[in-house]
Amino acid sequence: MRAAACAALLAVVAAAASGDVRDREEQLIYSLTVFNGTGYSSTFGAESSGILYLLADVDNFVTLRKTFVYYRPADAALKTDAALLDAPVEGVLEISGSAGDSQSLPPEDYTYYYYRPGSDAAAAWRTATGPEAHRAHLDYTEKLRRYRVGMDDYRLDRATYDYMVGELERRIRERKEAGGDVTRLEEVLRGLDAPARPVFPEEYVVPPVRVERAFVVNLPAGHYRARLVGRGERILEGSEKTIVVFGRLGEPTVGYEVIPGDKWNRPVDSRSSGSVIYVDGSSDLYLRARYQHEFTDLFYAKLMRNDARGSPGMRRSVSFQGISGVRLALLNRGEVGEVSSTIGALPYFVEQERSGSRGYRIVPFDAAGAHVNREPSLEAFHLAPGRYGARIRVALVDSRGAVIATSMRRIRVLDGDPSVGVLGALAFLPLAAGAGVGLARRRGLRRTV
Amino acid sequence: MLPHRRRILRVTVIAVAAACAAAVALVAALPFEATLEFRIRDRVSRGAVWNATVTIRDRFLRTYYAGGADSLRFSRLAPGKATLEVSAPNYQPVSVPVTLRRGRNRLAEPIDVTGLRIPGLAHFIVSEDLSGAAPQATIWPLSEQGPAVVNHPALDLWIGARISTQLARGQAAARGAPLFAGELEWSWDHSPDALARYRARLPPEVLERGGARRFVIDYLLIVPDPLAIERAEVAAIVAAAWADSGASGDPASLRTYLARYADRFDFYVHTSWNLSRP
Repeated sequence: MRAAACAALLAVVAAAASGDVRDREEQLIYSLTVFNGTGYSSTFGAESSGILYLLADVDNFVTLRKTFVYYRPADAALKTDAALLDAPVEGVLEISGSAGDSQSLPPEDYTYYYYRPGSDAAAAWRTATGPEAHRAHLDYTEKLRRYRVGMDDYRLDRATYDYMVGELERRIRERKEAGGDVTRLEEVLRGLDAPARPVFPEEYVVPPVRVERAFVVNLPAGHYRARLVGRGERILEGSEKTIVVFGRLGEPTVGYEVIPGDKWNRPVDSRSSGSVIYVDGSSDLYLRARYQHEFTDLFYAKLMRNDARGSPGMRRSVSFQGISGVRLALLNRGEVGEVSSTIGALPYFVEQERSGSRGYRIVPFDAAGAHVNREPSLEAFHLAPGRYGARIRVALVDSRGAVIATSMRRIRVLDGDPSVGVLGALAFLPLAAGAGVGLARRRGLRRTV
Repeated sequence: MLPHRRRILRVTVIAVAAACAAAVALVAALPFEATLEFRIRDRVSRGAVWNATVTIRDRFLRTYYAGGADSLRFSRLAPGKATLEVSAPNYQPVSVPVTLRRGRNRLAEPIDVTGLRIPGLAHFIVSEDLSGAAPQATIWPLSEQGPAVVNHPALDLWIGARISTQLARGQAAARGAPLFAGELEWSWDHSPDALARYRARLPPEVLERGGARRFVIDYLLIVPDPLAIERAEVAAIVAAAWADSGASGDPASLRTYLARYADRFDFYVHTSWNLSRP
């Protein structure tokens, strides 16, 4: 009995350790490529899932497919094995609202991409469907092709140019040494134009994804019923699901990513103006401000992963856009809005250090010097809390100096606690008492002997 | 007296109301719709029917690897008579009349679906694993385009082999003494991961016999038209064909003999040379 129990326990441990229990089952799934507020992500609704979650008033891409589904304990999540079976089911997606309104969506070709129309403009997600999808994808591939061809030509032209410049400079030098006239050669050298380097199509921050076919679902917030209707007006068994389409709660708020100078790779988020940032004052802070939306935690968790868990009573903040053109203001203790000084966001670079306990240091980015041809590691407001006392209040101010609502945060600088020494001594008290008793008994034993 | 009557009346009203509520609850709990559970399977492999579509009234489902013991289910059906129809590429369609009662319905026996052909089959290739106690041959149906056909109906192939010793290598290679001629047992690999479905068992005692260093195996694979010929008849024809081709087992004469049955089955000959036990 005991041996059997041990064997069962070992089997469970082995299964957990392997991290990949593939008890696969062929299922009809809803494959979802959804907009999540910051970009597109993919999840799927398994057969056991009765409800799908989508964000309101944005394009989401939905297909129904037959594939294998299995549970992966290492991720505590359902996974698909599309390499083995990935068969889309053809038909029309019928969606009916609670008011009895209904629409039939045929599958469409689609793509999506993150596009910045100009260097100063904000990037935004775009979607294209039907022939537009192919055009958008072709536009990008054509621009990329032209850039690559241009780069090939550029490398050739640049090599020729460098050779000619070198050759002319050599001749000028030799002629000068021989006392000859170099006017003509210098004119030729000045007349040489360096070839222009082609410009990478940077407007595509995320290039258009390969054109695929799906139902494009863009619905206002509400509850809907969906099903797939195939050939002969037949309903696909297992395709009837509820779709919860939800929007953000309230207006966007300001959140901060707080990067401690001594733990640069372990930033923490400050999501609400009621939260307090506690620091020990020994290291600097780097704050990155972002706009964020708030969503119902359960809905957003299920939007990102349909088999995830969430709380219907909690809110979840999701950063979606950095804030530009603002400064971080240190506020006086009195009224909100009494700005004592402001700090601008600057680029910083994380340098590796061979010596030192951290192995790195954060330094101002030097584009023209030490960090030429490199990108800044972060752009943030640099704050040394130790300089400003134990209680600091910060907020963002716009170009007119007005404090941006929801951006205020309190920072508490904690001093070393004097009671730590006393508590430490108390912790050693039982050890000292034990040692004393041991010594006393030893002495008693010696006397007896 | 009056209060007593009132009490009786009150109790009666409550009892009637409770009975009505119970009746309503009972009716509400009763299923008005029917579900139907059933199984489909390939008649030969007893496994999955690849790319099957099953319809009943206004509902349909698709299945690829579900078969054999896997139960399929229709829900939200109206009670009454209906026809369950199973179709799949390269299979013979099947219609099964069913009578649906309210609630759960289940077909006790699986629906067998007969495979008709291996799509795009151009020829077979065979690879042998002669190591171990159970040497076997993996049989790959190939399409005209080249790639192996992996998901196809299980046809009741007649797989036979003539195993001979090999006299030399290279250009001078020739069949030596015949060691075995007969039908090979084969099995079907149901696994979705499998790259080939048919595996034939090679007789280990034959490969041990005679101390031959190298073997030649001439395979004969017969793909019957399941609607035109029975398996026993195939076996009889092959026995006659082998007898006709003589002890040498000349594939050319075998081909000539079998060609006369082209309307009832397709046949393929594959020869593996230079085989040896590791």
